[in-house]
Amino acid sequence: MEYFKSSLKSVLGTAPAGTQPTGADTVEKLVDRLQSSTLLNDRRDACRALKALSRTYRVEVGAQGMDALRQVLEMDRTDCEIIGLALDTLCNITSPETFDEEVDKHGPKSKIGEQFTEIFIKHPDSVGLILMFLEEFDFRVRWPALKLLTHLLGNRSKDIQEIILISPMGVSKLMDLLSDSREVIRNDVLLLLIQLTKGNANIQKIVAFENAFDRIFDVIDQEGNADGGIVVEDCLLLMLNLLRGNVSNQNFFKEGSYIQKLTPMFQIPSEIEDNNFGGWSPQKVSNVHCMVQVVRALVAPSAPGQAVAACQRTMRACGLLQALCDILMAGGVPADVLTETINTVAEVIRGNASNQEFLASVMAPSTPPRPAIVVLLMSMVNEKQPFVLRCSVLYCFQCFLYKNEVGQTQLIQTLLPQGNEAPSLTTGQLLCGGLFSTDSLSNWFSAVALSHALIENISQKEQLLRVLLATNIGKPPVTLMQQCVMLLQQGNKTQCKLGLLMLLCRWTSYCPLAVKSFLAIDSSVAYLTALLSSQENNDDLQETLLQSMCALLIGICVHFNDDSVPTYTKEKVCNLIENRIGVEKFQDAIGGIARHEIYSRTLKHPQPSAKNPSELLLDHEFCRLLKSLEGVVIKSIIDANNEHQNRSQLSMSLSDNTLVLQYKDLIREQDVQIQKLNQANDVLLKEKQELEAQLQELRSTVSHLRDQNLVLRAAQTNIGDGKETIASSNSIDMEKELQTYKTMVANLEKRLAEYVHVSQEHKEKNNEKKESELEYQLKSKIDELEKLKKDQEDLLILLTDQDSKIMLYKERLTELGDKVESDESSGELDTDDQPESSN
Amino acid sequence: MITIDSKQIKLQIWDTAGQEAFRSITRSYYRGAAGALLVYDITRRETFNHLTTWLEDARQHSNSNMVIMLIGNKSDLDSRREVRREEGEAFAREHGLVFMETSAKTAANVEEAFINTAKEIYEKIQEGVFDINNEANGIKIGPQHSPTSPGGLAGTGGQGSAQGGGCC
Repeated sequence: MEYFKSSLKSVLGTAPAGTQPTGADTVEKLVDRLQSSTLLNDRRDACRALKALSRTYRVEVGAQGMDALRQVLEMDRTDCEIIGLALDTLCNITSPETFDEEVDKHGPKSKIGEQFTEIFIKHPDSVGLILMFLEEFDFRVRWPALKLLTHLLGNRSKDIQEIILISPMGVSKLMDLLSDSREVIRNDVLLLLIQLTKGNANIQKIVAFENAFDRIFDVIDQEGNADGGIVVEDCLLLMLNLLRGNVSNQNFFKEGSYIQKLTPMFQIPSEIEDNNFGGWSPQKVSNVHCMVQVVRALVAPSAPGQAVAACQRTMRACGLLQALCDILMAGGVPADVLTETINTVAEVIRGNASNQEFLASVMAPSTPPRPAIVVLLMSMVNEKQPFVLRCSVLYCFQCFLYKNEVGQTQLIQTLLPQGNEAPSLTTGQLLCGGLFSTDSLSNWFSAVALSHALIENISQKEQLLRVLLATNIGKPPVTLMQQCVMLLQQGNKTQCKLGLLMLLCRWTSYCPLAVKSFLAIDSSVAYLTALLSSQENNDDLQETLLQSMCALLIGICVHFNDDSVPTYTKEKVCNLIENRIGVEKFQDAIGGIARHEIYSRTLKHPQPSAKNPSELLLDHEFCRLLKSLEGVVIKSIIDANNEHQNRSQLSMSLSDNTLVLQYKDLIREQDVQIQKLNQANDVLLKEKQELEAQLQELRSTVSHLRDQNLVLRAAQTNIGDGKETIASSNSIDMEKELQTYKTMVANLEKRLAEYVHVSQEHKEKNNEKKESELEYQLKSKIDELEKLKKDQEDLLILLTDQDSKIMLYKERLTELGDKVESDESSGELDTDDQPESSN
Repeated sequence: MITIDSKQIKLQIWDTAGQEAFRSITRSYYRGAAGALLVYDITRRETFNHLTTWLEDARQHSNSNMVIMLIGNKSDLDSRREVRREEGEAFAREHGLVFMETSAKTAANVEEAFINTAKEIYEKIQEGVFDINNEANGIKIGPQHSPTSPGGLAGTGGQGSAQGGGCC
């Protein structure tokens, strides 16, 4: 203070006695001198004085001196001293803290620093100037510049991040300071980088590009690793900022073999184990906390699966997992460190078969030696252990079972009756013990843990049905499921019920056999429906959850029901829902869970998020199950109901249905018949055409014969004067013709008979009209034929006439003395007169 | 990991944003890079036209010895080509770059592009242009090697000039 006063005097001269200048006046004078003095020394002194006043008269110095100070930064950059003073002054002005000196003026929570920051960065080059001063090696410049930047960043972090990002080599300049040999600079730049990298992926990437990981590990090494001081923690915080949620940097970290560099930090020297009373220093606890956070950032369940798997492999290979497990089993580890380590182990093994196998093989150094998992589960079902620790064990166990069919099988196996009684404590026994203990939290933990052994594993669901529990001596053993249902009905602690319901939902989902067993248990369904229908729809969270789970369980009993329990077939359970609960209310109940914040929170991350025991109600995997089944189950019930309604209508027409079927058959038969008849009809038509053609032929023959007859008659008149030769030859012709006609007639008669026969057949077959037409035609044809026959007879008569005439002519010829050459019927006498018109 | 001259070389490849808006961010990557791939899109003439400014930027902010490769990407889309191969070659000749056309889609020449970059850098190390003990060059000696053998190459700032997709 003495120095302060004397410097003031030296700058301002001795103040006139009696008139004490106000702070504002002094500041004004100083600013004026800073701007107008030509001598560097004067300006320097003014600046020094301003710096001295900048805490007490912060507002005044800031309001009046800001421009002058920036002017100094631009004009006097070669003089480190004045620059240092100016930067110091700006630091004070923009400090996020409130100085003790000004508390009475502005109150403890003024935002002066932030406002001045805003004013300062309005000038586009301000931050660039400060970045430039970072390159100045002189401590008087570099350090205040760094501090000023830290203040600015603290006040307006988003703006400063953007400015630094686009400043040429902005990040690089800061990174260079990490190798400054002056620890205070290095440490301060660490703090600055932590702020700078917060929530800005681009900066994180550039910082990593600037070899940040190497530099950080160097610093950690210099500072003594996990046992080091707060600088180690700062380093780890920066590393965490670079890695958390930044896939590119995570990849770089893995590819750059930095995971391997983490391992030695986790290797706790053995002397500490022996020396338990010493315990861990608070700083070491913080350091290890940060270390495990770094590990978790690399294997977070939310990160891309492939990258996580690669990191998990490396962690196993480089002994990091081993080191973590050693911490788990070591003595004297503080509970919160242990909790976080368990959570970390959980994520390092999650879904990675070989890492899971590794954990299964870890033995605890107890007597007798027990598997680490058993020891962990013992803590989980132990009421005396801290709640968060128990949660972490559950998480670890869940991660152990996650996509681990072998682990699931082994767990269930420990519950099944063994040939030789295993004396050692098993995981299954511990969980059963927890399930039936009086501690509702243990019930919940055990039920959820057990349910994870059944995820996507139907065969284990079926195996678990075989588990029998010995009850009191003399009574028959009960199945695990019976016991669960019994506990559900008898218990009065909601947490326990929720756990059991989640277990039962998981158990019965996708497993008709488990549904069957559940339905077969007395009063199981009755209990659920009673619970669902009884409530008075209050907004109690636990009640809502309970109802949701009941509804889901009933829904599962519908959807995965194979109708093997006669009293509770799919249809009957559906009826029950409709009549006792109502479909809409059922839907409301099943969806009620999703309205609560705890549901979405649980769904977000596999790790139990509860802060205290009463909040621990839902399990992540259960929420996922509910989410995936909700829609299916409701659809199944609605469908079943619709079907049921339709069926009542359908059952009335059931007899009609058979009738329809009969009719269909009939129609089919008739169809075939029609086809056959059509074919027959075609055949008949063809035959008819043929017959008509033949008829035509016959007609033409007849007309031909008539013509011949005419010709013959004409010849007869010509022969009247007696030309025997012609006559005789004629008669031979005639006879021949006669013969042919006879055969023809016989043929026709035969065919006629055939046709008559055919037509009769058709008459029998076909009752259609055409038949009668055909018959009619046939008749007419017969008539025609008869006519023809008559004609034929007439012709025959004519022929005999001619024969007799020929005889006559012969006689006459003999009378005339001529000899007849050939005569067959010389003595034949034609008695008939010559018929002139035979037709 | 690639092998050149029977030496194991680990390439650390950084994909920087190519959009104009991120140019200032990209500048942060020039220092500490031993090589850069300047990528343009052969189906978009404007990306080729921007090369000059990107190259100036790179030359200005980087180590003068930085190896720069000029890459014409999307060579699979020959039907939509707007920049002729010869133009790329000419530009590369003029500015002393190594030129290649690649297709990130079919992976044609992609590995070669990186290998050639690494080879160029390796040659410069052999010639003594790069000081391998100075990590600011972006070159680190691998842990398993004797100090004389060059190790990892850190920081190849692959950067696409206003090119949308599919590189690096």
